[in-house]
Amino acid sequence: MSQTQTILGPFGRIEGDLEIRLEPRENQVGAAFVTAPMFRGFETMLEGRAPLDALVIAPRVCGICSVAQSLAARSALAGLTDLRLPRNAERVFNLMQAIENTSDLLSHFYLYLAPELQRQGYKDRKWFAQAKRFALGTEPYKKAVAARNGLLGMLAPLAGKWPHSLSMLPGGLTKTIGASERAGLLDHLGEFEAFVSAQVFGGGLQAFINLKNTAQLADWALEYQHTDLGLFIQIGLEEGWERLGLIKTPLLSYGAYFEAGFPLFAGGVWKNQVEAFDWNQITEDLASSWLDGPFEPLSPAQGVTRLDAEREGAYSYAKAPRYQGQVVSVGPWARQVIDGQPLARALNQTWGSGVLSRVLARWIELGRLLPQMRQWLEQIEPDQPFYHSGNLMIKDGQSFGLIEAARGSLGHFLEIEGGRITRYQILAPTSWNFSPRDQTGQPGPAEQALVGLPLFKGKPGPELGLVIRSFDPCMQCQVH
Amino acid sequence: MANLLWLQSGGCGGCSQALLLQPRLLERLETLGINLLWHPVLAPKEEDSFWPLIDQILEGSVALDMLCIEGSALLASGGLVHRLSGRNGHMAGLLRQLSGLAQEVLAIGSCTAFGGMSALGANPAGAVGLQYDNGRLGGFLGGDFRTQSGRPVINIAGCAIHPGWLADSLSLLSQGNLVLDEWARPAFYTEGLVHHGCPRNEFYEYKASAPEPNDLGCLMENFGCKATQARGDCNIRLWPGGGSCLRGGFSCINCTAPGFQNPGHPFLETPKVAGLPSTLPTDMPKAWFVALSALAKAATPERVRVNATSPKILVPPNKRAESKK
Repeated sequence: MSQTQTILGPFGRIEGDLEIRLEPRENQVGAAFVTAPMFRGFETMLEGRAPLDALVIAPRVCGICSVAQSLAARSALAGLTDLRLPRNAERVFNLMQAIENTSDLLSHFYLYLAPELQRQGYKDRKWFAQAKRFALGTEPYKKAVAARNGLLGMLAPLAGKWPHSLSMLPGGLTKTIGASERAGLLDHLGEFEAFVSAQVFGGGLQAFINLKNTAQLADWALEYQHTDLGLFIQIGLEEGWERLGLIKTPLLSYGAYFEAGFPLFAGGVWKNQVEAFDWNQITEDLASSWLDGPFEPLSPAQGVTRLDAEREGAYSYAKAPRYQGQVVSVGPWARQVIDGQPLARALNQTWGSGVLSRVLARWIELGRLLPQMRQWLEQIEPDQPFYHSGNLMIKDGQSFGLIEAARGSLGHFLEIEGGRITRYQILAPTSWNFSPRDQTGQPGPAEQALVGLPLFKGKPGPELGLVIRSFDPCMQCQVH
Repeated sequence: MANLLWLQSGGCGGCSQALLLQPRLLERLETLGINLLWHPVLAPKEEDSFWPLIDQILEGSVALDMLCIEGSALLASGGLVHRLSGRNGHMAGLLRQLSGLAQEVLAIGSCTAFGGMSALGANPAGAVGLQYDNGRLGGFLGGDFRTQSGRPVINIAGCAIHPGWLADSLSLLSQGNLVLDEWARPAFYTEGLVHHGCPRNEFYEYKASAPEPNDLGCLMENFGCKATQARGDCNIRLWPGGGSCLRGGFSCINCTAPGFQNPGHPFLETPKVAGLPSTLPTDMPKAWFVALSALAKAATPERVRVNATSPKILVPPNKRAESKK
């Protein structure tokens, strides 16, 4: 077995280091094993610290989704105070989260995924020359980077800086947003909208969001083939990428962008219908992890993280999270299907969870977020409070904060005792999607998605890069 | 052309994300004649090209002019806490091999320079800076380490780095006039204090402190702000989009300094010694500070006193405060 297996890595254009081991079955991938090869140990490093120190430390878990990490920590800490969030702070936090997520959705396409179409393995395709615009360093690429930077620049007036801001406190925001700042922010958002509208959708954003089925999608791609998204969809359909990297796991979303208790994107668990989500059903299994701990899977609220770098049978520093003992996948695709967005539901009905579905869900989500971001900005009331004063003391007890980061569901679970952090567990989006096997041998979502890929003399074709990147893995975040 | 190789180890990837924020980054690299051999985000060739490239560098057939490392060396369990991908072995071993071959080694971010956030508290991964273990010279490569060009590791400290700190360092390096400070950080951004250019300076002058975290007053007395000690040009250069920590309303945590991650007190609290903040400027006699503070407090204009305790300006200049709120 070990003579015929293929080991791949590191991968560029994903966040962090990743190794993949493939075992062949005839001329296909029979089994895949994904390895998160790096461990830092933030969870144990947080133990013993003052509760509010988490606001400094937690964002440093991940420089890609630091706002999401901050908001998850903030929310978990707020659960141990009597502080309420002013409406302004709620809007600004949602806006900050939407900016970070939107920037990630955009970066994923232009920086990480689309350059795949210029791999040498595709050079015989008749679309190869057209797809040159997706290569690294082209004008569309540079414009996308500039658009990303303009968007993230909005976090300067909102959060001081990005990444790693300390502006998100249990009681609200550390600053106010004045009317003139708001005017400037609206301008910047307008600039980003203009970029997306022109380069990505060619004026067809609303038409795209309103599509109802895959036939309409194919027509849209034809009509908008001069746009980056139109071209990508056309290529994808020609290649059959809707059938690439298919998985059948349930989908999970915690629900995103809450205002007065109501989410913009509803949460839940998708098992051919939406079921209510109950965080008590989450466990983490250490069977394949270079970690020491009890054999029985534990709730993250009871979780432990102790290094055992040479543990027999393990192949990743990641834990294997499960929901009701099942493998589930998370991310924009899960969010949009669970929320019931019509195109996402139609794609799920016709295609299921494959590469093209996961890629398109990001654009559906981005298209839905843009008008919402404008609304949150317009709803900021400069004369109303952004922070509710009160006792900043974090009480002893257990709490958690659940957030939807760009890549999916992020949870921080903490315990405070005697005014110190005694337990801090982080369950990141990539922890779900790039989970290793659990003690019953169930492979994680990405491991499942790779099975069946064709092998040529034991080597995978260029599609493997698309399957991996369609999940947008963030390995730093996964293991932390 | 100068070949640049960028590898990541014990870090969060945030410095790469910050680097991307540099306007016209690709153009700057082109102007400087920098050829990105590999960067995890910007310039990866196909997956299977990584190891052939590394082998060529190790054999000497590809020159390694600049080695940028983002993240601490991780040494726990004999280095296995950061295994290599695609091959057996550990990242620390590869970093040591490559460092010996590079003309210049740049430590990107405080994790890489000093250990930083990856070396927090009990430091289970054994994170250490390339040439410093927090403030102690030595670290992963040793205090005597010199690159092929005869230089120590260049420490682009910060958590995360300001993209301009790196971009300008590359420019100065190519001109041959990059000056380093006593921690081997580029002096152009550490020769001043974060305090310089802080929009709250007037509140500081009068010791008009913010009682709540989103009030306008100075954050030094109550919220652990270290800007009067911390070195950096954050409030002059400003973060992309025009911000800074202080402009965002929160305290400086001194992220360019070795050991900043373990301040010995909660980040958002100011430890007091005999009633005096421990965050006083370090180059001023304490007695003078006390005397000046007493005078300044007595002389505080009402405008400053009132605004310090409010999230927004209540009293503009040249208008007497009638009452607070």
